[in-house]
Amino acid sequence: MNATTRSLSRWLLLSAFAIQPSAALADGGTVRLSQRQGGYRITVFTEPTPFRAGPVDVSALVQDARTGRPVPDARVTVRAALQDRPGEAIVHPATVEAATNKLFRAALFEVPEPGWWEIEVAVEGERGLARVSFEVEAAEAVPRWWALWPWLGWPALAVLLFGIHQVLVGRKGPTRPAHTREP
Amino acid sequence: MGSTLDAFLCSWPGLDPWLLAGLLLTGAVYLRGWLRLRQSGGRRWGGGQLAAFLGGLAALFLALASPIESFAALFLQAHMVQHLLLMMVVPPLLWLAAPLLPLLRGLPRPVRTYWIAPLFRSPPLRRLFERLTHPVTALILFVLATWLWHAPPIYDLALRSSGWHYLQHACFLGTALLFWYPVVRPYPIRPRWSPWLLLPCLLLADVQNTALSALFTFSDRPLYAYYAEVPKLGGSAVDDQQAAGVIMWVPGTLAFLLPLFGIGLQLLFGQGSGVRGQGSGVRSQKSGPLPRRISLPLVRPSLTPDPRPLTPGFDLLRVPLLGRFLRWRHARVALQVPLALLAGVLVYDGLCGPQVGAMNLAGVLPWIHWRGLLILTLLALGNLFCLACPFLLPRTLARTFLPAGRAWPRWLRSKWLAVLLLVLFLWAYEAFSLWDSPWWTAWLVLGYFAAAFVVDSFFRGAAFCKYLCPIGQFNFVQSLVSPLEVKVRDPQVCAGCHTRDCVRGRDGIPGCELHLYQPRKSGNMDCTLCLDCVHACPHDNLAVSATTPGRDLWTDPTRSGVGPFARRTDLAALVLVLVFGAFANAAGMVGPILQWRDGIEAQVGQGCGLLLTTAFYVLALVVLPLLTVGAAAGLSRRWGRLHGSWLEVATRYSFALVPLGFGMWLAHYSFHFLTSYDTAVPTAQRFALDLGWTGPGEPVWLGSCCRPVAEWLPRLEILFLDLGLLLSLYAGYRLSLARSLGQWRALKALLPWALVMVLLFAAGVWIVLQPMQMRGTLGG
Repeated sequence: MNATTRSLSRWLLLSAFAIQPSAALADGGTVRLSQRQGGYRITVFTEPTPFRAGPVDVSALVQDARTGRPVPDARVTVRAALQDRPGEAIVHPATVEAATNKLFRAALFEVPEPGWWEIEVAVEGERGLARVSFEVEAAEAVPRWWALWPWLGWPALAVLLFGIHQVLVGRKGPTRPAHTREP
Repeated sequence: MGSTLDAFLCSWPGLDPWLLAGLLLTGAVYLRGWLRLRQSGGRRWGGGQLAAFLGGLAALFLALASPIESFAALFLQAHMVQHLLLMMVVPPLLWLAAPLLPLLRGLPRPVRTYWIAPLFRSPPLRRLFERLTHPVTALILFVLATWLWHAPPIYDLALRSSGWHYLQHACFLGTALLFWYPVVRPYPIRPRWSPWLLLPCLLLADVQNTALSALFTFSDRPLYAYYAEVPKLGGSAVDDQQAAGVIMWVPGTLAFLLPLFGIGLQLLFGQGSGVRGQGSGVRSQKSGPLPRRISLPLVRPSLTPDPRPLTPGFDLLRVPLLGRFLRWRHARVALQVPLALLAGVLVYDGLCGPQVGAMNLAGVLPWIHWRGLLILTLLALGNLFCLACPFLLPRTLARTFLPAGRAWPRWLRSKWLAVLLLVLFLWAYEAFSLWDSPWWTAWLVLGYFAAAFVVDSFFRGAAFCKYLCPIGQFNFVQSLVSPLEVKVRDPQVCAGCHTRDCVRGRDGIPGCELHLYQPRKSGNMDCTLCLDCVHACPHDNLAVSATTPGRDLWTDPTRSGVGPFARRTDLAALVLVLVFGAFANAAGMVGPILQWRDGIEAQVGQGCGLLLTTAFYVLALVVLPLLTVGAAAGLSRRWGRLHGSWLEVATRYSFALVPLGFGMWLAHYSFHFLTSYDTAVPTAQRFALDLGWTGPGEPVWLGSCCRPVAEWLPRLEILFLDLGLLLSLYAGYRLSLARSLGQWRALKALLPWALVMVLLFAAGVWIVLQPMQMRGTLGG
C-alpha cells in the first residue's frame, strides 16, 4: 500500500469515524450485578435496555474489593451461552479500548437469537481469577429497518415542520421570480 | 484517584456526527453573519459577542460530548455538572451573543427571505414566542422541567434509556433558553413587560434551586435507585449525591443572584450596570419580544429578480489558482489529456490483461471508481466529468480538419435516441455482465471514442453530447440538483452586448456548441460545463456560481437551447428512464433478486437468463414508469383540477422525481466506491508487474475481496435517499402550487405523486438493506 493509498484510507476511516454515531449510554444501561468475588468487586452493565438479540454491549467495572479502586491490569472475558445450549458459547474479550468510559471494560458482540442467556464475566489479574454470572432474557431482535428508524423517520418530521411552516406563514403560493412562468 | 482522573481525561465518547455538524454549522453561520454586520459598519458587534457565542457552543459540546457525558452514568455529580452546563452556562452565553441578527445575516439569502422572514411576520408565532418568553411563563416552564426531571422515577428512566435521556437534555436546554431570554434580553428584543418583573422571577428561581439542592445535600439516603446500584470509587452513593447537591447549590445560586443584583442596580441607578439589550430601559416598550422589522435587507423577500449587478456569491472561477486555471483557454484540454491517457491504459489492459474484472483496470476503474467519483462530484459541484470528457479530445484536436458542416437531422433533434441508447446501455450492462468483462469494457470505451469522433466529424453543434451520449444525458439530468451553474454575472452587460460571442465564439475560441445563450439559459440541462462561453465572453461576465439545488425542477422559463420542460416529453422520458433505472440497476445486484433469478433459471434452464434480464428491464424501465406516472398524472389532474393535458401534467411532474433518482444512484454508487475503493491498488500493481515494472510491489489481493460493510454505510445510503425524497416532495409541491388554485387543491394534486415518491423511496430502502453483490471485487 503506497503513501497515497494510506492517506486515502486514513481519510476514509476518519470519515467513517465521524459518521458513526455514539451510543448515548455507552458503558451504562442496566446494572446486572455488582458483587464481591475473590479480591475484586465486579459490576456488570448491559445495553440495550431491554436486552435484545442483536448487537449488545456487556461492560464490566473491576475494582479492588478492599479499597474500591479500579484494577487497571485485569483481563476480562465475557462468555455468553444459551441456557439450553451451554456448549455453544460466544466468548469475547472485554477491553478498555472498546469502552467509552475508560474505567470500564466493554465487550461488543452479537447475540444471535432470543431466549434465556447465561452470561459469565471472568476476571483474571494479580488478585487471582474470579467469575461472576447472571441470567438474562434476550427479547426478539428488532428488524434491521427498526434499528435505523431515526434515519428513516426524520423526513416525516421534516415534512411535518414544513407543513407547520406553511400554515404559520399562511402562504398561498411561492413567491416566484418574475422571469419564471408556467406555460 | 490518579488512575480515575486519567480514565476521565481519556473517556471522550465517539463523536456524534449530528451534534458536531450542528455545532459547526451554527458557529459558521453566526461567524459569517457577525463578520457581515461588522463590515457593514455595525459598531455594536464586538469580539465579546463572538466569544460568547462560540463559548456557548463549546459549553454545549462539553456537556454532551466530553468525558462528563461518559462519567454521568457513574457519578451523579458528573451528571449534575452536565445539567448545570445545559441550564446555566450555555443559554446565557448564547443570548449574550445577541444571536438573532448574526444568525439571520449568516444564512443564505433564499433561506432568509423565503423561509425565515415569513415566520417573523406570522402573528400566531409572534404571539406564541411572546408568551413563552414572558418572564413568568418562562420561569414556570423552567421550574417544572427542573423538578419533574429530578423526580426519582423519571430520572431513573432517563438513566436507563438513551431516548429519555435525550429528551431530558432537550427539555433542560429548551426551558433554560426560554428562561434566560428575558433575563439577558438580547438585542434587538423590546419587551412589553416591566423589567422589575425579573427581580422576583430570578429570586424565585434561586429559591427553587436552593430547595432542590438542599434535598440532595441533606438527604441521608440515595434518591435515585440507579446511582445506588452502581459502584462508587471511594465514598458512597450518598456522598456522591451530597456533592451533586453542593454543585447545584453554589454555582446555581451565583447564576441567579448575580444577574438579580445587576438588574436591580441598573433599575435603581439607571444605565450602565450590565443589563443588555435595547429593552434594558426601565420603561416598558410596545413592540414585543421579536422585532417585527429587523432590518429590511435582512428579511425582505425579493418579489422580483435580484437587481444586478449582484454582489457575486461563490464563483468557482474566482477561487484562487483553480479559478485562474479554469479561465485559461486550454483548461479543458489540459483536463482531457490525462483522462484520455488513463482511458488508453484501461483499453490496453482490458484487451491484453487478465479477463477477471476485479484484477483488471478495465474492470475496476470504470465500474467502481469512475462511477462513484462521478456521482459524488455531481453532488458536491456539478457536471465536471463532461468538462474533462476524454472522448471528445480526438475531435477537439482534429477540429481544423473536420468539416462538421452538417446540421443534425431535424427529426432526430430530441432526446428520444439518447433514451433508447440509455435503455440499451442499462440492459447490456446487466445482460452481458459488462462490469465483469474487461474485454467488452475496453471495446465500449473504444466505441465511445469512435462514435464521438465520427458523429462530430459530420455534424456541428456538439451533436454527440446533446443527442446521443448516454453518460452526457445522465450528467445533464443529475446536474439539475447540483449546486453550481454557469450564470451571467451582470445582465446589464449582456443587454448591451450585440456580438453574442458566448454562442458564436470569437478569435478562434468556439462559443457554446449546444447553443445555450447565456442571458436566457437557466439551469444545467444540456450544459457540458465546457466553459467555452466563459472563454469567449469578451466582458468576463460569466461565473460558475452557486445555485439552489433543484430550483430548475419547479421553475419553467423558456430555456435557451432547451425550451420549457413542460413541452419536452422526450426529456421527461429520459428523466423517467434514469429515475427508474437507478432502482432497477441497484435491484439487479441484491440477494433476493439474484436468488429469484437463479431459481427461475434452475427451473426453466440456463438459456433463459438473457430473456429474464430483458423482461426485467422492459418491466422496470418501460412498463412500470408508464403505469405509475400515467396513473399519478391522471389522478393528479383530476383531484387537483389541473389545467393542461394529461401528457403535459405527466411530463412536468416527472422532473420532480429527479432528486429521488439521484439519491438512489448516489446511494448505490457510493456504496460500491466506499466499500471497494482500494481495489485499484493491487490491480495497478498487477498491471505494472505485467509491464515489467516492479516498483509498486507485489499485489496483495486481500483488499479486493469481501470487505465487511461498515455499519455507517447503510445510514449514509438512507440519508441520500431521505434527501432525495424530501427534495422530490418539495419540487412536487412547488409544481402543484404553481398549477393549482389554492393550497388545498395543490396538496390534492401532489398526493398521487407523493405516493409514487414514497413507494420509490421504500423500494430504495429495501434495496439498501439487502445484501449487495460486491461487483468488481474478488468476492463479487
